[in-house]
Amino acid sequence: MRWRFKRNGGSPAATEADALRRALQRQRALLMDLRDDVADEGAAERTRRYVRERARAEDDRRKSVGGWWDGRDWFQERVWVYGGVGAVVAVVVIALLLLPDATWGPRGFPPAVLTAEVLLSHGVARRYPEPPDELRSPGLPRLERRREGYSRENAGSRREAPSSVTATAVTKGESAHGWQHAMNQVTEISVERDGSRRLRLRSENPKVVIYLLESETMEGATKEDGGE
Amino acid sequence: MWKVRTFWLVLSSGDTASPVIGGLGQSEQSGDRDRDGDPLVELLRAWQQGDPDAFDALMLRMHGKVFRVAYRLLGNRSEAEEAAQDVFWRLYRAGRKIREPEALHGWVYRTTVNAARSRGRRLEAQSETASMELAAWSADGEVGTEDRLVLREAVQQALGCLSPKEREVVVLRDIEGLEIADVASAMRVFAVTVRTHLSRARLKLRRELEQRGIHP
Repeated sequence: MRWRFKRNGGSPAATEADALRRALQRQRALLMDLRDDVADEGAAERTRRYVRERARAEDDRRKSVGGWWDGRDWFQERVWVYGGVGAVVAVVVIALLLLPDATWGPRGFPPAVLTAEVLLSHGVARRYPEPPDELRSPGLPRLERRREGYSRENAGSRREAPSSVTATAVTKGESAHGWQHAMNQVTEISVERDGSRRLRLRSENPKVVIYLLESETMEGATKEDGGE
Repeated sequence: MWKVRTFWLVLSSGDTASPVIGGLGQSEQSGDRDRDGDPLVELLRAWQQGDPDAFDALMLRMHGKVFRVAYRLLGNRSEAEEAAQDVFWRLYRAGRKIREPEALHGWVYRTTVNAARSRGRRLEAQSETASMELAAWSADGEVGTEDRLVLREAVQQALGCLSPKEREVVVLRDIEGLEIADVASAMRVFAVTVRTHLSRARLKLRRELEQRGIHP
């Protein structure tokens, strides 16, 4: 860029750029001139004493604590490496265990988001947790999903698969039996029609407890399929 | 990603001495580049080989530089002194393991920048405004003529208006006179990043100085 400006006899832009460059050169010279103006005023001696005293205190502490790691710097170095790797592995394992949709591990955990799942595959209708008897009183509203989406074609393994389930969501209240209807707290009601085939009620309110109340075997299932 | 990194490294390694703006820095004295027979490196070697007094000598000779950089970055004398103490304590603990004593200067600058960043964050968390500290910066215990004191105060207030990264590049490059590659190493960034920050910081600093009536 510079040679072109010179050949043109110095354009205004080139003049401006040169002026800026010279100003920045002078600015830099000014800054470097101020470099040694900062005096530490005895701070060096204080720092020397600080390091000495801290080193001595560290040695005393090591001697007083003793133990097989005494004075072994390699342990201090590696403990962080091994500890760090162990912590990462632990976090990954815990995260896998807490995944609510994992095919293994404790279902319905963690309790902050309570999920009632009715496993329809292999005919297992879980009641988790077991509902109290008072919830079976007819006055309490219930959610019913009767044979919704469970056809013979997409049912997959239909052995003793329940065709209808009844569930409710409650919370501790002031009613006569101590429970209060909380279906309005249920934020998700879904029926998964593929593979897993489960009815899921989900509430973000951790005080809400969701109970499966009833389940029935799928109507029309053949005997080979395990039906009645 | 690795290809990009390699490219940047190649780009920066062949260009370490050239400044952002042509003409600047060609005749600067680095002070740390000629490290053959560097007495500080020799002191570090002696300490690594078991001479306990060598560390004291090393610390006393390097303290001025560490304190100066920390002071420029933090704008606070007591914080700068504590940052210097952190740096030398780290050197005491890790210095025996430095395999290449020639890297001492880079290690010290890098540790100083890290210590200053850490203390700077703490200062911000305590909501002590940098401008208040900087206002009293040049008044405590510095010597010089009255004009020079005024100039120094203006410069340091202007430095306080830069962002932390910009202040770091200006202090390390323009005040301490380090090469671009050494600044990049101390800040753990690429050389092109240093150049970007530097050109922006120089222009910003110029505006701030002009606002204070200083026209370099």
